[in-house]
Formats: sequence, structure tokens, C-alpha cells
Amino acid sequence: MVILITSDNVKYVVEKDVAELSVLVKNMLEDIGPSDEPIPLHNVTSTVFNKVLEYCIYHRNDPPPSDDDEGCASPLHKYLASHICSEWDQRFFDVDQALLFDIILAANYLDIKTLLDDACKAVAHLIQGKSTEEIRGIFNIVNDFTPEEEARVKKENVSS
Amino acid sequence: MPKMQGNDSTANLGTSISDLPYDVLLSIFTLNADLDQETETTSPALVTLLHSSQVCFQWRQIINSTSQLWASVVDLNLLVLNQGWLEDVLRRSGNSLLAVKGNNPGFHDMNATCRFFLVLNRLSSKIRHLNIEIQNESRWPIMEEAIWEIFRRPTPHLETFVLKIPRNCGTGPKRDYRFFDGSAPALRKFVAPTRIDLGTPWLFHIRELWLSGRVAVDQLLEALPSMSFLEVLNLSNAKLTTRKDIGLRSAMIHSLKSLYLSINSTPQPYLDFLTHISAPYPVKCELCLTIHTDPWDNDPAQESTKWQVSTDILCSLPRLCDLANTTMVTLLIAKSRLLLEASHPISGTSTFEFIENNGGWNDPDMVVEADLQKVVTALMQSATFSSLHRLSILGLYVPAILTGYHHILERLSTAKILATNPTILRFLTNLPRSSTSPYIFFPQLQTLEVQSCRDFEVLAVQSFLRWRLSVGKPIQTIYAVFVEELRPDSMKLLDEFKDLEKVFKYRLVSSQNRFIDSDTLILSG
Repeated sequence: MVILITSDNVKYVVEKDVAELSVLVKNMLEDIGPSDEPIPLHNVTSTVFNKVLEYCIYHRNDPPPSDDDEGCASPLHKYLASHICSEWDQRFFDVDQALLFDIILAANYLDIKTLLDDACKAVAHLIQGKSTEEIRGIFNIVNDFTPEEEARVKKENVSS
Repeated sequence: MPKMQGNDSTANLGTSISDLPYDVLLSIFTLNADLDQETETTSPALVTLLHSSQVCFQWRQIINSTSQLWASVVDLNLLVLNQGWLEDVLRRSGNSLLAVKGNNPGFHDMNATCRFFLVLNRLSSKIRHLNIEIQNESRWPIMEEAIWEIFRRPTPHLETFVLKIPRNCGTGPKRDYRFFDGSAPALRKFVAPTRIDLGTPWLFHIRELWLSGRVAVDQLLEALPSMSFLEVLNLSNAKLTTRKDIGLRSAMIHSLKSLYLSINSTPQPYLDFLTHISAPYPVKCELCLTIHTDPWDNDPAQESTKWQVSTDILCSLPRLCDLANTTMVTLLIAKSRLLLEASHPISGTSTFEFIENNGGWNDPDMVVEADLQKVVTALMQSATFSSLHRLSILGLYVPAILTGYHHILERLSTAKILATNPTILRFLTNLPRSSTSPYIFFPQLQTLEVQSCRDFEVLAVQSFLRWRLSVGKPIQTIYAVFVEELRPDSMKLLDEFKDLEKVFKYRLVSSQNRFIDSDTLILSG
């Protein structure tokens, strides 16, 4: 078991194989060797870590992500990646945007590639097929172009 | 997918998309800049990328400074008709290698068709991934020569070559079959409706190969061992042939993971091929074998040979697929069709489909069940299913084939889950059993899944459960999907099984002919 402490001082006792899905934690465990010392997670709150943990527990037995390019991934690996987990993952990522972005930041900090990839896919899905205005609306992004840039942007239209 | 919360207050309070680091935002844009992810219902990746680049200063800077993003979305459907945008996208793509897609070069306007080939010709040396689908059959004779001409030249960067044409448009260039002048050092995937020279050097490092047209088995067996990286071999559009007096060598295909075959003609060359190939690891196979029979044919010897060869083909597959370690099997037996799906934990799901086409003679008396029975029995006897966990037996028709049921059921006896329908259940319950040797099929069965159960069929379920109980092998859990409302009396039929966990679900058809699934009802356990 591994003890992890989030930035708001909540302590978690986590099975080692689950904790080691985070490359950051795995490296820290290797550095400190056998020890009961808790590992601090400075950039992750307990609210976000609960979600991260839920994901890691569910995906603990997944085949490891391949470093090979797409052509090398086995058909089974691709199938697992695209089908079996998708329904659970869709429900998992059905959260408000702030939490979704917090999960991304946590996955990036903890270096959990599959979680980062899946969360990025969820955001990419929100953008797909949307107009510029719709994207701004979804993410509350302010149009900060200068009038000159705005004029240039308006000229770009693939259907013109 | 995430809730859209753009206009609600929470989006303003917590972390926002602008808090994501540069590389994460780039990953998100990269995910959307993928022509392979496009479907008929999604908007083109190029349009999504363009719209994303117009959202704000930060996004525009990231997208416009990453040439690979623009190089990944060269959608000729949109760009051929818009010279200004074509030049703009190419400028933004810089020196990056291109992913090019075009699925409608059969534009109504002949000028647009010409432009399509001019653009393709211009870009050909920079293309990394090419995916072209010709949809207009009538234009193909005009386009054919142009397209072969483009890809007769060496192609230094091409990794993926996918060209699809309507089925009736022939099998490749008429003059020669020398693609890329023999030089395509980066090519990994080749999908084209054409015959190719199987000695061409770029096949040495190919990973996915689809062959079309006539392919001589001896030449294929000669070439395959040198394709050390070949993972996927698709012969669904090929017609294998054998040449007289030419011996066949054995071929080990070192990296093979998937094999696709569709046999619709003389089966002997396919048997020759399958009995001469091997692979070091289990292979996922997809085989569709159609045997054409003629009820009025007076040559029983020829018919018999046809069936025997077909049976031998099916029996040669367990060796490639490692059926012994499959964990899930689905068996569908209809009057003139056999479908076996076998899921292997490493190689994936193999499917074997066997269809008898008797030219539309559907008189049940004419159906050659005896022959199909031999095929089923031979197939099951050629393999052991020692790791089988879940077995599905589907079909509304219980064939006389199953009179030889012991051969089949014994092979599948390790199943712990049985998914089936009430018709098959009734059949299993009523199988004749000898009192002196009370063989119990599926001795390890714990879970029963009943699909598409109607009110009157609850009796069949009850009988099956009673029988399991009577032989000391009770079912522990039943999942049942009812396709009509149960009468209270029917529901009570299962009350007697006190230790049985019952999970029921209704799947009813609405007045608009849509399925409406109920929530799952757990009645006990």
C-alpha cells in the first residue's frame, strides 16, 4: 500500500499498482525506496483526486499504452481503447467543465497518460463540428482579436 | 461526454480552458485534426480546425504555428473547389508531410475532376497518408489512367495508401502492376483494388496488405515469408487460384495478427493456402465461406468434394486461431448458415461464417442439413474449447443438426454462462437423456441469460431451471430480457426458485417502432 496526501491534507491509502499508474508517483516510490513515508501531491485537491482515483481503479488492469505508432497497436488494444471502456468513460467524464479541466491538470501533473488522453478526447469532442461562436460560448472564451485580426479572420472561410 | 456548461456560472468560478497548458491544448487540437476520425455525421476536421483557429488570440497562435495540424487535414473534397483555401492550407502546413483525403472525386463538373488529379499530382511527393474513395463509377474509366500514372512514381514518404473504387471497376492498371516504381520505403499500409507484383521491394516492410483480383497461391506463399512485418492480410477481395504442376511451399508469416478471407468460388485454392501457412502467435481470422449448391445437380461426387473441401477449410482454422484458449463463443446455426464467433484474450474475435447458397431454393426439404451437420460436427471436433467461459447459442430455428448434440455440447462443456433464447432452451431441456449414463451438459453452468423472451415462453425457462435443479446443477443467476409485458401468472412461474438471483429487463417496442428499454429490475438475490 502507498500513502498519498493531497494539497488539502487528505490522506489516501492506495494499492501500489493503482498508485503506480501515475508515473510521478512511480518515480517517487523508486527514489525513496521501501518506506511508509506519505507522498505529497502538491497540485491536486482531494475533490479532484477522488475522481483520479476512481479512474485509476477502474483502469488498473488495462493493457499498458503502447509507445508505438498507431499502426503497431494490436487490434485487441485498439478495440479495448475504443469500445469496452467508452461507455464507462463517457459517464466518468460527464462532469462540469471546471472539474474536467482540473482532472486534466491533475493527470498532467501526475503523469497519467491514459487519463490525460481520455480527458483531452472529452474536450476535443465538445469542440468538434462547432462554429467559432459556439466554441466561445461553450468555454466562455472572450474574443480578444484586434479589429485588424478580426477582419483577417472573417475573410477565412472554407466554403467561400 | 461532458456537460456543456458554457453559460452557467460554474464555468466562471473554477478552472477554465485557458488554464490548460500549451501542450495540452495542442493535444486537444491534434485529436480533432484527424481525417481518420471523420464520419458521415461529423463535420470535416478541416472545418473544425479552421473554426478553432478563429476563437481567440491564444488558440490562433497555437494552431497557426503548428504546421502538422494543417498538414493533417488536407481534405480535397473541400479544397479542390477552393483554390484560395487550398493555397492557404498548404502554406500553413509548411514542410510537414500531408494526410490527404478525398472521397468524391466524381464531381459533377469535369473540370473539378481534372483539378482533383492535378492537385493530387502536385502533392504526391509530400503525402504521408492517402485515402481516396472513388464514388462515381461512370467516371472511373477517365480517372483510372491518371491515378495509376501518379502512383507509378517512387514515393519517398508515403506510409498509407488507401484507394477504393466501386466494385465493378476492375482490378487495377491494365499495362503493368509496378506501383511506385518499386520504391516506397515508408509504406506500411496498402489497400487498393488492384493486382500487384508480389515481388515488389516495398512489400518487405508492409504491415497491412489488401490484395485484389486473381492471386496465385504458389506466388503468395513464396512472397509471404519475406514480409516480416505483415500484421494484417486481407484477401476478401482476392480470388485465390492454383496453377497446375506447381508445388506449394510452407510459409511462416512471422508477424501475422489478422487474416480476412471471403470464399465465394472454388474452395480448393483456399484450402491449399490455409494448410500451408503458419504464424507464431494466435491469429484473428474472419472467414466467410459461401458454398453454391444446385439441388438439380446430378454429380454427387462433385458436390461431395465441394462440401468436404469446405469442411476442411473450416477445420484448418483452429490451428491458426488457437480456439483452445478462446473465452467466449457465439454459435448461430440456421437452416443454411453457420456462424461461429470465438473471442481470444490476445488476438481478438475470430468469426467463421458458412453460407449455403442453393440458388434460391428455399424448400426446407431441399436444404442439405446432413451436410451442414457434418460441417458443424467436424468444426467442433477439430478444436477444444478448454478455456470457454461464456457461450451464446442463437437462432430461432433448432436444426436437426443438433441431434448429434453430444459432439457439440461436450466440446463446449466448460461454459459458465449460457446466453440463448427460449427456443434453444426448450430444445436443451428436452434432449433425450439416458438414465444409465446421465450426461449433464454444461456441468459448470452458473448463469443463464435469456434473450427476447415472450410471456408464453417463461414456461420454457421454468422447465430448464427445474431440470438443472433436478440433476443437482442449479442455475445461480438468471438475466432475462422480456419483449412483452408479463402477465402476473407468468411472473409467478419463477417464484419457486428461491435461491435464484433474478435480474429482468423489459425491451418493448413503442408505437413508433422504437425499442424502449426499462430499467433493470432485480427481483431477488
